[in-house]
Amino acid sequence: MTMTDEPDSVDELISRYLDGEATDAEIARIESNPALRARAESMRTAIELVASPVAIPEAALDQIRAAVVAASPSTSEQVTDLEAAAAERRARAERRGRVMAVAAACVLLAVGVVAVRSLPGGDDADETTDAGAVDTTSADDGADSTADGDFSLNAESLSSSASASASAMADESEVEMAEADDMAEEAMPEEAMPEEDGADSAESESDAAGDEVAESSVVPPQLFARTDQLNDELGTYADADALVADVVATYGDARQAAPFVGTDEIGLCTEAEQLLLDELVSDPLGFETASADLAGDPVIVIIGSDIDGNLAVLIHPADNCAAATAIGGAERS
Amino acid sequence: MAPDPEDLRLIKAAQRGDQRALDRLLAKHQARIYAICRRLAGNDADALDATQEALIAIVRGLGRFDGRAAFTTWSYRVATNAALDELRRRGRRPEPGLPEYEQADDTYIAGRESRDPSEIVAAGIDVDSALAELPEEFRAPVVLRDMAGMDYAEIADVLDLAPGTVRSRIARGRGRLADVLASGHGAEQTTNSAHESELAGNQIPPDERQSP
Repeated sequence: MTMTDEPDSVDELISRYLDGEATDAEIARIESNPALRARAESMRTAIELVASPVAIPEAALDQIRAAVVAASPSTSEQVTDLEAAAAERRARAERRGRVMAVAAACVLLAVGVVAVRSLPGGDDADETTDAGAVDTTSADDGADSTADGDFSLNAESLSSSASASASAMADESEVEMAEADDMAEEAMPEEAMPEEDGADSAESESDAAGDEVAESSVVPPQLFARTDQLNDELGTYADADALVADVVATYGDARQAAPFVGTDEIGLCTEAEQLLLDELVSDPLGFETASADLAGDPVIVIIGSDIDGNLAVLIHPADNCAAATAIGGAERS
Repeated sequence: MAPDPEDLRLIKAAQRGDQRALDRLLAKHQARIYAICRRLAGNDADALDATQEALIAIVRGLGRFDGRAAFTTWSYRVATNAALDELRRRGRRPEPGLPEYEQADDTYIAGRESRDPSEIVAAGIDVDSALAELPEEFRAPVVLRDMAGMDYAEIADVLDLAPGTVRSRIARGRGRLADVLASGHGAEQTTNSAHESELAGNQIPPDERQSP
């Protein structure tokens, strides 16, 4: 069947009809005219033909993709001075121990800081979690003693006392616990409560301390959580350990090569941002943002990474800046 | 198409040098990119070459991708241009290959209103031969509309044409295809040597493939 009267305009009419964009009058015209109906049927067959399944040569495509990715510019950016990077990591690990206590102690927020020195599931995680829980106690003290917000001054005063425990943190959690007890007693003896339960207790300590801080005159600004700007949605987790394990599994081998751009675009409070930065082993490079459900509470998860690919995870309740928790130091193998 | 959040996350990571994210991004879209190239190029060899060129171009251009448009829109533009460039380089109209539904592949990509492959076989219709009858300016918008499922605005963006021009070319392309099918020109071709080689061993003859 060929159309001789203005075939292009007829075909345009029928094409609109087949796309579901014809007016009622046009539909009526086509469906009441046998020639137009036949033409519509022919063109519908043509559409179906073009839309017919294309067999995909997966193996060949995978080979092509692998070659293209391997040759991509980012490959060359991974070349670093390994010895210098390792030395820097060691130095930063020592500083991180001091900073961890500092971050725990001198915050306007009452937070719990947990150091994880191995990938999730390792024994070290439990030990350092315990130590971190003790540090949480120090955070309470620090929060109280810094009610006026003298952040850096407290950082300095605590760094020397914390440095010894920080350097032994990976191997001697009991020593750390004892030293942390001493630190706690200096400020508020009755708050010293070593915990065995790791992240959960750290989080509960954070929550309790958060309530305490919220009642003080120095309350950090609410996190302005523009959740529509978050990059990812992580799902539901029963506890922080499960969330962090998933974060590391998802982002653990991310290779970041761009300058750290900060977290301004999601309105993260500076204190929480500092927590995150403090947990990174080396120079910060980038971050990801995600939402998650943590035991029924919505949280924002900020995954920061440094130039060596280590991760730090900030778990930030969506409406409570004071209860943010930073977990960091997970070193990739 | 609205930007896919997962695509944006992978793109940002890939832009920062994350090769794993780059691999995931390409893996997610490679099949549809290939399908577009296959429909435009008309045979597996040219389609694979065009796909490789498209992926290379995507990786090179990813740093400039700002995420305002959907990644699919942008990548389909790259794929379309790669396929058409491949055809122009070879200086010929697409050479129909073995109907793809006869190849030993487990994965298929189909358009929104696809026809059952068995019906196509029964009717003796060769998609590639039919599309080969269309001039390039009609073939591309028809493939993007009916194979890739893009809307007119997206196709206009991909082909850098006015939406009205896209509509007109799609309508004329569909009409031409209907005429081709009605005249029987879409029947399976069985005479070219490349096709015979493929029947013999399902291999693409080396002399039919040119290095990209």
